[in-house]
Amino acid sequence: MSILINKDTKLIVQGITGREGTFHTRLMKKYGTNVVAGVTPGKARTHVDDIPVFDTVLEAKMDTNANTSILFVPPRFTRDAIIEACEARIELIVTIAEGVPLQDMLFCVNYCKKSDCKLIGPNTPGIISPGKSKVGFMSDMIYKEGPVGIMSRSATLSYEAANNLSNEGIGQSTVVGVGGDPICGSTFLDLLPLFEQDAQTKVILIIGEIGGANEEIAAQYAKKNISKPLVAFIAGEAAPEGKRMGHAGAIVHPGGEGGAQKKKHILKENGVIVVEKLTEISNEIIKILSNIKEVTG
Amino acid sequence: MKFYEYNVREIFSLEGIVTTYGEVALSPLEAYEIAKKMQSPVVLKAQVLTGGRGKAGGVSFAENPEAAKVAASELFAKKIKGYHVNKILVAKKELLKHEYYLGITINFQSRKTSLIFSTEGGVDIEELAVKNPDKIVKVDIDPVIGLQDYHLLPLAKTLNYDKELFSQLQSICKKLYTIYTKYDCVLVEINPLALVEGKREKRLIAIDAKLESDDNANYRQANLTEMWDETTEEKVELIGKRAGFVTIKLNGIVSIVSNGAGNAIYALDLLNKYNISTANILDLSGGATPDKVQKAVDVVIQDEDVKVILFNVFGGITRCDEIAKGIVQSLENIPSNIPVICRLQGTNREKGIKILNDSGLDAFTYLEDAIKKIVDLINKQGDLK
Repeated sequence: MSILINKDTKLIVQGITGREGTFHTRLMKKYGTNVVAGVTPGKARTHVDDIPVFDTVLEAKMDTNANTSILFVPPRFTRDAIIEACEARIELIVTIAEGVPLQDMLFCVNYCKKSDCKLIGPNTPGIISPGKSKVGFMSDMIYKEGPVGIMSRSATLSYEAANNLSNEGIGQSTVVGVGGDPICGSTFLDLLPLFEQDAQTKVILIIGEIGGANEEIAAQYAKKNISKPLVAFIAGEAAPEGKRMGHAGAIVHPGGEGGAQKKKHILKENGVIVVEKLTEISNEIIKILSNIKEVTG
Repeated sequence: MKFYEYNVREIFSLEGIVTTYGEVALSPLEAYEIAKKMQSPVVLKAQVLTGGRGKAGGVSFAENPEAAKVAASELFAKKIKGYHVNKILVAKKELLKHEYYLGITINFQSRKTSLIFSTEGGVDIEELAVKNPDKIVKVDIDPVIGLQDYHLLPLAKTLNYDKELFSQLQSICKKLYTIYTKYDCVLVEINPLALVEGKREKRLIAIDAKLESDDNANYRQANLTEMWDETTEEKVELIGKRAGFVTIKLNGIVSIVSNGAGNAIYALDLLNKYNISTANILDLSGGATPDKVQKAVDVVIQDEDVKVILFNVFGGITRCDEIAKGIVQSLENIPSNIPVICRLQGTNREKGIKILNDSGLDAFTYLEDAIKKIVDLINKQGDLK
C-alpha cells in the first residue's frame, strides 16, 4: 500500500523548466510517476515533453486535479512556492532545496499544519514508494518493493540502507527523506502513525544522526503507540562536540546534548533495535521478518 | 553567524532598544580616553564570541580612567575560554536594581518561536533552567501569527503587574521580536536586562546583547554579513565557504569529499573505528559538476593536514560520471604524495567508474572497501600518520 505517495499520486513539478526540474521530471515519469503538470511563472502554454506547463499552481491544479507537488525551486524562493501550493490546496508538498532560511521553514511548517497539508523537507531527496511512484531525485534502480518503511535525515545514507536491503532481497514500502535541516516539514514522529496504518509496512527503519531530539521523541512515542518493530541506525559517533557536521541540524552541543551515544541509549531503552553498521541493517530485519512469519504462520 | 556584543548593541540602538552608553577600545590608551570622556566609573568587557565571559575573567570594573587603562591592558593580555581579546567594550557602569533575562529563539523541538523571560537574569540561563525552572517563563509563538499582546501576559504576572515596568518590558519584547524576524535570528538575547533607577524614573536597559543569525539567510542579510568577523572562522572552513561549500575542519589526516553530509559523517565514523582521524569534510552538495569538483579539490588541498583524499559519492541528484570527470580534471593539482581513493555508487555509477579506471584510478563501489584501502595505505606507509 505504501504511505504518502502511490499510484494515485498526481504530481505537479514546480520549477519544471529549470535544469534539474526537467531532468528529474523525465526520470520520475520513466519510473512510472504520474506527472500531470509543471509550473514555471511565465511559461504557461508551453510543454516539457507532453507535460503542460502553467504559470501558477492553482491553474495547474484546477486543470489536472493534482494532489502532490515537488519543488525544484532555489532556497530563496522556496517559502513562496510552498505557500502557493498550500493555498492551492495541494495535499502533499515535497521541497528539496538545501539552504532554505530557518524562519522561512518555521513559517511554512506552521502554515501547512493549519491547512492540513503534508510537508516533506527541505534538504531532502524526496519520497519513493518502489513499484508505485517516485517524487524525488533518488537513483531509483536501488529500490525494490517490499515490507520495510524507511525514514531518513540523510539522503546518501538512505541510499546506502535501501541498497543494502534490496541486495538481500528485502524491499521497501516507502522511503521518506525527512531532510537534514533542523526544522523540517515532517519529523519521524509525524510519519510513524502513517507507517503504523500501512498494511504493506512490517518493519520501520530510522536513519538518524547527531543533533536535535527527533529520534528520541519518535522512540518514546513508538513505545506506547506503535506495534510494528523499529530498527535504527545513528550516524555521527565520531563527530566532535560543538561542530555543525554539514547538515544544518547535525550538531552535538557541548555537554553531549544531541550526541549519538545518548540517542542510541534512549532508542534502546524504548525498544528500538539499534544497529552499529549500515551493513547490519539487513541481518536484523531478516531476523525480524522471519519472527513475524513464525508468529503469523 | 555569531556577533560581538558591540555589534549587537548597534542593532539594538538602530531598532530602539536602549543600552548603556559605551564605546569600543582597541588599546589600553583608548580605554583611558573613553573613560575620561564618560567621567564615570566604567565596566570593561572583552569582546569574545563565547558565553560565560564574566566567570572566565572577561569583565572588569574601573573607577577612573587610570584604572581603566590598567584593567584594559590586563584584559587584552588574557585569553577568554581560548579566545584572544582584540576589542574591549568600555561602558558606563550603572547601578542595577534588578536583573532580568529576555530572549527570543527558534524552538527546534516545537517548531515555533520561543520567548523566554526570567526575573533571575544575569546568570547562565541553561543553569537556571536546571536549578530553578519555575523562575523561567517560556511562551511559544506561532510564527504565522507573530508576537501578540496576549503572549506577554505571563510576563506581567512575574512583575506583580507593575504597570510602568510591564509597559517598558512589552515595548522591549516587541522590538526584540522585530529584530528576531528582521535579522533572521536563531537566537537574540538580553542577559541581563536590568532595572536602573534614575533620579526621576526607573528604566529597563539592555546591559548585554547577544545575537546569532541563520547562515542560510546570509544572502538577504547584507548588513549582518558586513558586520561579521570572518577571522573567527577556521581557515579551511572560510576558504570552503567562499568557494560555496560547507566545509568542516577537524584535526586528522583524511579529507572526505562527499555528495552529502550523512555519507561523510558515516565515513568519519568508519575511519574512526580503525583509529584513523579526519582532516576535513567537504560537502559537494547535490548535482555537482566537474568544475565544482575541481574547486572542491582546490579547497581541501590547502589544508596542510591532509595526507589522503577520499571521494565518497552515492549519487542521487549527483551523477557519478560528472564527479569522475571532475576528479580526473583535478589530478594534476593534487600533490603526488597524496593518494586519492574514490568510491562511486548510484546514478551513472558504471560510466563514472569507467572514467576513473581509464585514468588509472581505482574506483570502489562500497564504502567499506574504500576505507579498508585507506587503512592498508596508512599501515604500509607508516609516515603518512
